[in-house]
Order: sequence, then C-alpha cells, then structure tokens
Amino acid sequence: MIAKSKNSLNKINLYLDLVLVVGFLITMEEKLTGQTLHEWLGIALGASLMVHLLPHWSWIVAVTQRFFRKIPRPTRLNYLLNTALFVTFTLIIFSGLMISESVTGILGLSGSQDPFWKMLHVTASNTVLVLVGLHIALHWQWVVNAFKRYVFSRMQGYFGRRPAAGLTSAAVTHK
Amino acid sequence: MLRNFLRIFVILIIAGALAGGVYVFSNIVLTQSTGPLSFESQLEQAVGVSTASLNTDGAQAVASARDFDHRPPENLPIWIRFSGILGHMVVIAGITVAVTYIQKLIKRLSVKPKALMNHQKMQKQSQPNNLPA
Repeated sequence: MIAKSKNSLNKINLYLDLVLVVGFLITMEEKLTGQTLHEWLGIALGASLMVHLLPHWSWIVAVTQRFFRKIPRPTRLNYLLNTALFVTFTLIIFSGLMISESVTGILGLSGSQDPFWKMLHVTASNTVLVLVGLHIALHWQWVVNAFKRYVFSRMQGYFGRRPAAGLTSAAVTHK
Repeated sequence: MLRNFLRIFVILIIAGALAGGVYVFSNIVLTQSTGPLSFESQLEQAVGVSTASLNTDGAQAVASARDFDHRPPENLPIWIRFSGILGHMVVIAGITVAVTYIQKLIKRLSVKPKALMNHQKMQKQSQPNNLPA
C-alpha cells in the first residue's frame, strides 16, 4: 500500500517537473510570449514551484534540522543549491512584479521605472538558468529512472501488446 | 490539505521576508546613493543633451528607443522567437552532461582497482600476526 502511494507520488512528481521545465523555458523567452503572457506565466510558475516543494517538505525539514551536524556531502550540496534556487526564483518574481505593466495594471498600480529592478530581474534570470541546469544534473539519475518506469515501460507495454499489422490480418484470416 | 496550505503559507512568509529585505535594501542603499534613473535621464547622461530640448523627430526617436524592449513578438522573425528556447535548452543540457560526466569520473577514481585490493589483501595476510597457527 505504502509502495503504491510512493509510486503514484513519484509519477505526479515526474509530470509536475516536466511541466515546470517546459513552463520555465517558455517563460524565460519573453520574445516568444510577449510581455503580458510572460508576466502571467511567471506568476503561474511561482505558484507551481511552491507546489513542487510540498512533496519534498519532510526532506527540507529533516536537512534543515541537521544541516550543522554530520550529513552526507551530496545532501548538503543539494540543500545549498536548492536554497540558492529558492532565493533566486523569489528575486526574479519580486523584481518582475516591480517592473510589471500588465499584472500591476490590473490592480491599479504602476510598475517601477528604477533600472535596478530590471537589472536584478535579468541577472537573477541568467543565474537561475545555470542553477536549474545543476539541479537537473544532480537529480539526473532519478529523472532517468522515473522516465524508464513511468514513460518508457508504459510505451513498451502499449506497443508490445499490439500485434504487428501482418500478424493481425493473419490472425483474422486464420479465425 | 490543511497541512499543505500551512506549508505554502510558510513558503510565502519566507519569500516575502526575502523580497521585503531586497526592497528595503534597494530603497535605503541604492536610492539614497544614486537616485532612481529614468530612461530619459540615463539617455541625457549618456548623450549630454536634455531630452526636453529635442525637436519632434528627436522625441520620436527617444520614444521608439524606449519601446524597443516592448516590441510585440508578432513583429519578430519566427527563428528569433524560438532561438532563445533552444539556446536555454542547450545551456541546461550542457550543464547536465558536464556534471553527470564529472560525477562518473569521481566515482571511477574513488573506486580502487580490483588488482590493487587483492594485493593489499595478500600483504595483510602475509604479515606474521595474521599467519595461521
């Protein structure tokens, strides 16, 4: 029962992570989406990132409590990287809201003209690209295993169950 | 469900505190030292001409320069609109490949070769204290 719920949690994690990566890449490219969609996608990405943290909450709490004690080096590295990602994403979303035109316009506010926020937004976005690359790299084995288990095996099962076209017609003829 | 809402609330509080800190930092440190610079004042500093003194053509040029960042994407060629995504994917893939390779390399270097391990085992066994009685 526990293994089954863990399986489904892993599957949800995989699909959510895929949506996050695709959403992140689209949001990063303002020229593709245009200003208004870029702003709303950024807010949606922020909300999705919070949901992404929820399944890992127990890990976050456990490592935070033991951070200054003896913990494996990869875990410590992972924690530091994830903290950097959280800080950078917060900076991106906040600076984005500060310079936004569409989102703040709806609320009857106007974005700041201070170039500091634009500079912060661009710098944090470039930094987060590298951090996301490192984050995916450190979890690469999990990504490969999850893909094998939930995507490739299902595809294999789907294609394996279906007999080839020639065989079908032969079977039909035989019948 | 309630627990998840509480967790989201905690995340929002931490993020809000961080954003508040940055806002206070930008207001106190940056604004007092340099003052906020509008696009026009930056242009004036760079060119040395007041934008207010420009004629209609000049004012139009400034306005179009200001709007350069906000060009609607429909006016851009399709390859420019998609090239950014491809570039970002290449960066992420490059980092992933490099880090995975380094991790494998470290693992390979940290594992002792079997011949060396056998040699060490034999040496240990041949020591007088370890000889069978």
